[in-house]
Amino acid sequence: MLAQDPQDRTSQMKFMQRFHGYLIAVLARELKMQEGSLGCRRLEALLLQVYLRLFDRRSAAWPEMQGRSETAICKYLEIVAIRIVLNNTRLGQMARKAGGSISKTHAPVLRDSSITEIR
Amino acid sequence: MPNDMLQNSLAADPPSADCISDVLLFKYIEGEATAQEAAAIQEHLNECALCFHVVAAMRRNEGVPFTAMEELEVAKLLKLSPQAQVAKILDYEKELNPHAAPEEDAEDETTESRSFAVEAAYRKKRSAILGWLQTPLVWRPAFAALFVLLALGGRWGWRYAQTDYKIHQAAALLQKEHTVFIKDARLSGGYGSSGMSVLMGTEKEEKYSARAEKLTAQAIKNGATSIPAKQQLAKIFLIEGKYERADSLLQELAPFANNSASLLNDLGVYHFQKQNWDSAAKYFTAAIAADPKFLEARYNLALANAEAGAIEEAIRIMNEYLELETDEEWQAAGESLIKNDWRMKK
Repeated sequence: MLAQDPQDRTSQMKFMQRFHGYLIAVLARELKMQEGSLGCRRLEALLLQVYLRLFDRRSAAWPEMQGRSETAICKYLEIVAIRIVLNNTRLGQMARKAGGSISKTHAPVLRDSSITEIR
Repeated sequence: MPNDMLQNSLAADPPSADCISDVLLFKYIEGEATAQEAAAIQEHLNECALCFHVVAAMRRNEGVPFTAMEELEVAKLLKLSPQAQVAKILDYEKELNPHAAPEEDAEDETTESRSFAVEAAYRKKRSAILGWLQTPLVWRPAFAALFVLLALGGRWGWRYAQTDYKIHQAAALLQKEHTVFIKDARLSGGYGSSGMSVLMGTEKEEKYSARAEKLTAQAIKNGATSIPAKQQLAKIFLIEGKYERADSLLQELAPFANNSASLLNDLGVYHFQKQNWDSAAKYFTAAIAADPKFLEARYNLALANAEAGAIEEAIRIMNEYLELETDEEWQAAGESLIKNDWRMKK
């Protein structure tokens, strides 16, 4: 489905037509979860960042999505979207300032989601 | 701003040199990571709040579909259509990535972009319906009432256009075109005087009265059963000289004429045209009694008296009329009748 080159416009367009709505929904959900509110410009800026990441030739994102099922692509997009939101919100900044240490930031909240079940 | 975004977006993959990349994290979540990778990732997750948050959020969202409310909130938020958003983002992306591929591949009107537009329209419609369904219960009766009011208003407007508006048009046409010969009895409605030289029943008159008749008849056919509609049609018949048809309508209206000066006056005009001077005078007198300021009836009463030979009485009534009349043309007409007609006969 996807062309080899992430800068191929037709492929980009096809990709966006398929996943645009999903990405917006994921970004909106995550943004609301972290900040409690949504803004049109904010969402648009985050969306642009996600696409820039996906369509960057230096990024491993595009090759990684090659040959994947739509469900798998959605999962990957969700990771990218959550990362981008984290990178742009106060929660992420606090975590980064604390050197990524859970104990200094949100350990109780985050620890509640039992990580061991992920495998 | 876009350049900062570019930096941010690239810097976030991964957020720091020690962090796991998105691809590895994805493989881990999908169960594709090797045992060694998985162990390293788990160790990292114990230390890194950022990566841990990503995994926790994925876990939290897993199997939780987007609710209609979430979709609605996003739909409300985005001002642009999905297609316009994509175009805007591609423009930004092109600006930020100078090595982007040439644009001709993507910009032509393909079936896919058309289907995207159709999808956007569908989503918009769906959001509107969802919007209604998710309106707070308190507002629903208000919206329903508003809808009913709009429907009733529309129905009333349509009915008005088919009935009363047509009558109004016919009346306006008569007001504009119809002029009364000064020795003829005046119909109610304040028509202008045409002096002595007017020729009744010209081609022009037939044309406008026929149009007015058609409009009024249509209005009555469409359900305008009001007295003014029938009175209007009777007046047109009187103007056209169709006395039998006028008589039929006026007979129908006679029971309602007790307090209507204009209707009594028009009944008088009918009798005046039929040269029943006494009957005409009776109706004009009744019209004046119903409304002493109804000037047409006073003028007509003077004419009826003059025709019946009571010139003195006619002059007296016309003088009374002249004191009340403010229209200069009709004043001149009244004075002319006294001076040139009735005094000479006397």
